[in-house]
Amino acid sequence: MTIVPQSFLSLQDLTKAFGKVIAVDKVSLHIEKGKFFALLGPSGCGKTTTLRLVAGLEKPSSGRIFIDGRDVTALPPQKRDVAMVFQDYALYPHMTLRQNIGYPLKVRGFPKKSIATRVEEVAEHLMIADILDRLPSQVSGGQQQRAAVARAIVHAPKIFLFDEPLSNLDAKLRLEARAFLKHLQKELGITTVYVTHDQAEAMAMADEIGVMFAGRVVQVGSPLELYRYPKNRDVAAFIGNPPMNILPGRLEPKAGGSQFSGEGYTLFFESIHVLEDTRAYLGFRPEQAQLMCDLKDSGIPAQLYAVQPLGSEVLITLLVGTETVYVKLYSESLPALPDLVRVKVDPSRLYLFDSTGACIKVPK
Amino acid sequence: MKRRDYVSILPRSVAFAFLAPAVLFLATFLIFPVIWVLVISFTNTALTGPAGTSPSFVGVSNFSQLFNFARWMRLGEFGNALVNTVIFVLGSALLGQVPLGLAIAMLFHKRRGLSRELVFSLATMAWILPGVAVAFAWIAFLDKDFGNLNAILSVFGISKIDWYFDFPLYSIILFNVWRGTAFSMLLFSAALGNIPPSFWETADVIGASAWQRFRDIIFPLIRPNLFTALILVTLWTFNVFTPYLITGGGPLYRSETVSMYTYRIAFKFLEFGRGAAVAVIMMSINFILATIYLSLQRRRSLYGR
Repeated sequence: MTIVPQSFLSLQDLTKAFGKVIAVDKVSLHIEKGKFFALLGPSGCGKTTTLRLVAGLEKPSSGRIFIDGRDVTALPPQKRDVAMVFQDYALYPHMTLRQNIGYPLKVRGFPKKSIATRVEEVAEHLMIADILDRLPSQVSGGQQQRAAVARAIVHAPKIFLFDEPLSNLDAKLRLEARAFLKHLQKELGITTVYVTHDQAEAMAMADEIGVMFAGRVVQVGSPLELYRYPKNRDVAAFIGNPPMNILPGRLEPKAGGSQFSGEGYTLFFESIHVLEDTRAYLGFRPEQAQLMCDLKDSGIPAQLYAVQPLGSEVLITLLVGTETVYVKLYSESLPALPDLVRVKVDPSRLYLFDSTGACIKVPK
Repeated sequence: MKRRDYVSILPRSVAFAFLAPAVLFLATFLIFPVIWVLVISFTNTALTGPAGTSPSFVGVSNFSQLFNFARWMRLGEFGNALVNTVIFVLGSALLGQVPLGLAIAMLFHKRRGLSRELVFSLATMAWILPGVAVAFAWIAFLDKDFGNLNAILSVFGISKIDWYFDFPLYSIILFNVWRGTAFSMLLFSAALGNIPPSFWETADVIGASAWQRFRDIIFPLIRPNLFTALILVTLWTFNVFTPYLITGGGPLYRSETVSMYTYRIAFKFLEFGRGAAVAVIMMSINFILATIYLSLQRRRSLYGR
């Protein structure tokens, strides 16, 4: 007997194989009602396939999907009461925005009058009421996106599915659309699954993020949890802008703790105990590092590579051995830096990953 | 259309020199013969008989003979051939090839694998094999006593049918549907392939039925291709001559189309003047169809995609 899960949307050991390639590998997720959930991962990690499984556009090889306590695994898309916004919006080019938005209602056989009222209502809400009679090709990318969202919400689905809906917008519009979507989602309270490869997007919008690598969900947590306590090196190196710096080295047991030796520096960790000399990785966030010009200072020796002023902050690229390291300085003026510097990080802010990539030390 | 300014990179004379071979070629093999046909359609030019040595100008008498409404519907006359052609085109192009091609394309749109390969290969083969070979195959296929079709039908207890005698026009319609469906099939297959997958999937998520999806989404998107297929296939079917190799237009001119009629008058009776008159009418019909086609082509970028 299957146990019906408590969460609104539940994926249980969901697996999808295309031939020999396993795109989605035993993914289990539990998403509460009204939450904005982002599936984050690099391209090809299986996040879109997972979304398509939820939509019913793909049949899972094994595993189950529950929506609102109902097993929908075997149901076709239209019986799942979900709405999906595609990356290309999939607005029908021969229909006006009005016809596009009203189409889900027309298909469901609503009377013409109530379709018209509902479309007006939704369009008013999304601020596209004045362009309803145009064709998709006659409106801007941002307006197309709103129309696609309008078509998705018009019949009040149980779940919203977004497949990288912002990737076709330019940077400025994307920022605007992010806020718009987040606001709308909170307002409507519709449970949302949002697929993206852009960690900034996921961090900014989601209540909860699931990070996927190679078909598996590696970690699920709130944006800040993922930022502060990445479970492994992959997650750490994926989240943050720029992401966490990770330097390879060796960890060996020493009296009262262990010593990490990297390229030209050693660091002592009191609380970490290892049995033998092992490969390990040191991690720290660009925004938590400082630069020391005095070479007599302790710290990680680094070579200056590039200085990028970004307005409120300065992004500095350095080389430690052959590894690239970013340091973010909150300064509006350009610092005068020598070619060789030391990178200094408060020891409590350091991360350590073992040879398998698992995180063995997080900041206190 | 906006006229664009252009910068000439070559002197005009050089440009004409480059154009000359193509113009000469077209003039020799296309424009000149067309004018020649037009000219002799007003004469009684023939290969034999008194007119053979000294053809003379006869005005519009060749045309008025064709359209002699007192007798033009008799078997073997132009009107009969014209009616046969209309039935042939309607049956094999508009009701046969185009809908069938669309149906096959729709059916196999999302299917990959052996069945699709098989159907597409067979249909394409029927299209590209030499006419003489397929004509012979069809004579064999529909033969009354030894044909495959009657052999198959006999299994179901249907007695022998003399296809080419009792249903000559329907037989060549059937043949032509088999022969030419591949074009529509490939055209629609490509057109469907151009529709982004997300369009189909959105329809799936929205919950449109197969019919709603076709009517509201697929059909409007492939309508330009449908026009292309209809006009081109009509044009080709109108001119097609291969069925002559099967029925020879018979029996008793019952399957004779305009192209067969032209051939008979010009090259069997060797009355070039009269044959040219029919050819002129055929060319005019072709010209009208081609004009419709080209003007539709120009309006095709309707959706700006």
